[in-house]
Amino acid sequence: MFQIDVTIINQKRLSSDCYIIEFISENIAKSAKPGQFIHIHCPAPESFFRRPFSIADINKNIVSIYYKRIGPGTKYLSSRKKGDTLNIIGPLGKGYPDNIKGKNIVFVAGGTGIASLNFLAKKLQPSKGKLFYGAKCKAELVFANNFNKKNWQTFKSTDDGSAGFKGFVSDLFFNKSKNILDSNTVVFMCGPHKLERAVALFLIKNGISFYVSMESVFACGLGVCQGCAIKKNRSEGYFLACKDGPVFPGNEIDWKEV
Amino acid sequence: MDLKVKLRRLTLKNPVLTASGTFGYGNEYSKLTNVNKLGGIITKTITLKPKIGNKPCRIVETYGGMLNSIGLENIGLEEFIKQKLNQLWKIKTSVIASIAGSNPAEFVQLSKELDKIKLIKALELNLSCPNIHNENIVYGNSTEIVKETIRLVRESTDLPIITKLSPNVSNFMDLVLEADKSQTDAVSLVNTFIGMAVDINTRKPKIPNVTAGYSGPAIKPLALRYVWMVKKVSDVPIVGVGGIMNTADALEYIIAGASAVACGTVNFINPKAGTEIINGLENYLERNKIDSISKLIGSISC
Repeated sequence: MFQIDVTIINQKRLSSDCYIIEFISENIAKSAKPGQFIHIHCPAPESFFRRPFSIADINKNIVSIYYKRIGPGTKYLSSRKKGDTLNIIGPLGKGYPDNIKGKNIVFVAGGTGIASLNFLAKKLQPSKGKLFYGAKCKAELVFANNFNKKNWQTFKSTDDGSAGFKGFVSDLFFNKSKNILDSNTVVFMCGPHKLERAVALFLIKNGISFYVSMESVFACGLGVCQGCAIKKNRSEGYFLACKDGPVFPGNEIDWKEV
Repeated sequence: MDLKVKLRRLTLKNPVLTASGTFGYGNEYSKLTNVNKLGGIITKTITLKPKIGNKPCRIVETYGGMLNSIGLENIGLEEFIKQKLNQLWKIKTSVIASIAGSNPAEFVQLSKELDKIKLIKALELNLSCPNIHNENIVYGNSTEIVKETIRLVRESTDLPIITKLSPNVSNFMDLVLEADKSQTDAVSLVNTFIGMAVDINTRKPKIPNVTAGYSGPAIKPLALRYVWMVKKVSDVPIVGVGGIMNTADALEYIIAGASAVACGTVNFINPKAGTEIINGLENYLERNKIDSISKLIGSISC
């Protein structure tokens, strides 16, 4: 875990409000695992907390994040240029298990949830993986660099039907599930809570093993403020999304409370 | 440059502490900052029995601060002793244990057990958390309860006692003066202010409990005023706490009358704030040719 100033080497607007930032950090590049995040200081009048971003990719010592400009913090970020510095804390959190071999691997990504799964795809390298990737519209289905390989089959959806299946990615997933899910399947999921809950309840009902990355509002980001509580399923009390997660085995979470 | 400060029976190597609930048990931030350089750390509040805390949403970002309704989530006294002491021994600065109970007897039980632990240098009595029991009242809201709690704790331990008080009362000065009469070694001024936020989409409060504790830079002028107000009429040593982000903020508190300061919310934004403030205080003393920080305490002229 480090608190460092990094220099932006590239800020690219992919489309609409979707951006990539790349910076160099040997420390983070060497130690980060898929599913971990970095906590970025975005000083702006209405942005007090740091903002967390899943690590979306690592190439040599270049770290990438993928984000959508939706509020004052990301607005600040989108105004940064090549050569500007960012103060970041990371890598933080518990990532995805990246040593799952010989299983039927399925990813479900909603919106910017694609980011952490993009990094995971690079590490997992399944022989045959399936990605379900949904967003509001075609303009936001823009980040899936590590899935353009032969070992990935991608199913896309948009809420407005501008690309792929018209509807939620969860519905696309349910439609295809009979043909792709088996007892050997492990699902990795990242996206809005509404999506995750819908898919989680389905997977639990069908006895499918899965891991989910839980987005939360973070103050400290490292388990001290205890603000990011997620209700435990198997016992009393709460997990902390930043320290016990953000990735959890799917059946550890009380989905009724999400 | 002497940064040492004395709060009656408690001496600190410098006046910069970390506030309860914002620095865990000290070791969490040890990878990011030199914890040993701090004047002391105040632990997350310990209660007799573990508390699982409030249901989410527990924190809300606001303009210049945050609301929190954590609900005193902590592992309880027994697990604190079992799990956390090992880590705390590695810390080479004063460890101050924050404690809370729902009645004076619980405070006494906590004091007696923590008294046995050599590495604990002082106790901070959390008389002012606004989030216990879903109620909008603070524990320490009468002179009787303040008097009884401090006096009973004093009988059960020789550890220096810091009493943390809430601004959310109508008899604030009475409580401070009572705490002083009951021989507290210092008072922490102040705990969070009660506030709230509304979700305009669901038209519900953002926090299930409705109200929450408000902290961060936005409250600095408010908390600072409490420090000054007390210093005018009492010589009880004060730990100033509320919205301190940097050296200048810390100096405002010291000049207004605080013998020490505690950084809280800022730790979430900048874990290095405490150590940066210590460096800043040294620079200020040097630039102004003041040889000891204690000469600055209460030096405001008005």
